[in-house]
Amino acid sequence: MEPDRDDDALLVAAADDPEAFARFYRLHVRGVIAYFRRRVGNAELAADLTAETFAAALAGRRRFAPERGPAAAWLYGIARRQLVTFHRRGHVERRARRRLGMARIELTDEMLERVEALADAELAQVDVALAALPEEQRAAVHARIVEDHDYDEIAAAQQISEPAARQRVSRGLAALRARMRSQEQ
Amino acid sequence: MTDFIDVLEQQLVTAHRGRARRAFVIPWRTTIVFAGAVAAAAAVVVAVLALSSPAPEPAASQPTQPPQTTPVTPQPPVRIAVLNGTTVTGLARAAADELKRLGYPEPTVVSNDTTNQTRARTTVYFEGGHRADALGIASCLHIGSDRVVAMEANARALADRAQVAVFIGADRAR
Repeated sequence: MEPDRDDDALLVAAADDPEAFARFYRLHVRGVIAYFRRRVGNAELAADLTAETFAAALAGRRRFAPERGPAAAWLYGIARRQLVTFHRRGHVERRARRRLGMARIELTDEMLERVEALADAELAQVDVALAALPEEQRAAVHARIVEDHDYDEIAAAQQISEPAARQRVSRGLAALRARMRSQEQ
Repeated sequence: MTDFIDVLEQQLVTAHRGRARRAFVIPWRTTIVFAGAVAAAAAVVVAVLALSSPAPEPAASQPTQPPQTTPVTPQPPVRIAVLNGTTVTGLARAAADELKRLGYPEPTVVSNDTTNQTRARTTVYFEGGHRADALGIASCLHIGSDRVVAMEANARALADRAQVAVFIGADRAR
């Protein structure tokens, strides 16, 4: 991970700067692979869904608005929609990649093993880091990122205002990132 | 080892660059087409006026409004060097031409690597902040991301301040 620039600012800069998008990608790609790996139980599908998610993020990067929530939540919202589409249609969407002229990546056995290992390591890290968050932040991050609840739903469940729910998710994600960075060092 | 994460990053960076390039090119193409259409329409109007009015009064020439285009601020072009690290002639020029064909600027250096003519593998060096450029260029030349590395002193000396330097090896002679 690269802690030198704020996540949201990176995604805003990525509108015109491929290097910023690459850095945003490197910050999140392992987490997104792990997210899909946990839900579809298959490294090849997880990689395919990850590729489509980042292609959709690249195509829609100008729609990201920091005032509506953190960049990670925006990205995982796209991931969640990819997952829903996958379960509904029985195959991974390719629309964003086609639009961008991106070929499907054919994974060798070696690449698959690496995706698998990486997802396992990331999941273990996330679980540890998530468990270490204060209960309110953990619940907010879990509700937003894992269960894809809207902020008003999180606010109602936790009996706080919607801006407070956004802030709780944002702070939880920041704390999660910080804890995962410290685990890597 | 080729890694899914690196390959996907290359694809995304190339796609990002491609879209930015198209965004820069299309308004000018649109401008040319639009300006051509305006000029043709103006010529027809002048011809009709000239034929219909017996008095050879000069037609009041209304200044044609320039077509409105959205100003686009392109990224400053990356400075590229391509050096041939083999004894096979023309490899650097061919790679430079391929990059130009794909929309990159003419490399500032296209020459032989006089310090090493026995490179086995092509390597792409990048200065700080230009890794994405280097990955995009490597992708265009079908060079694996494992051959994209930070600029070294020797490479920098030969590349004459280029931000990305491609040192061609014998693998591109096949």
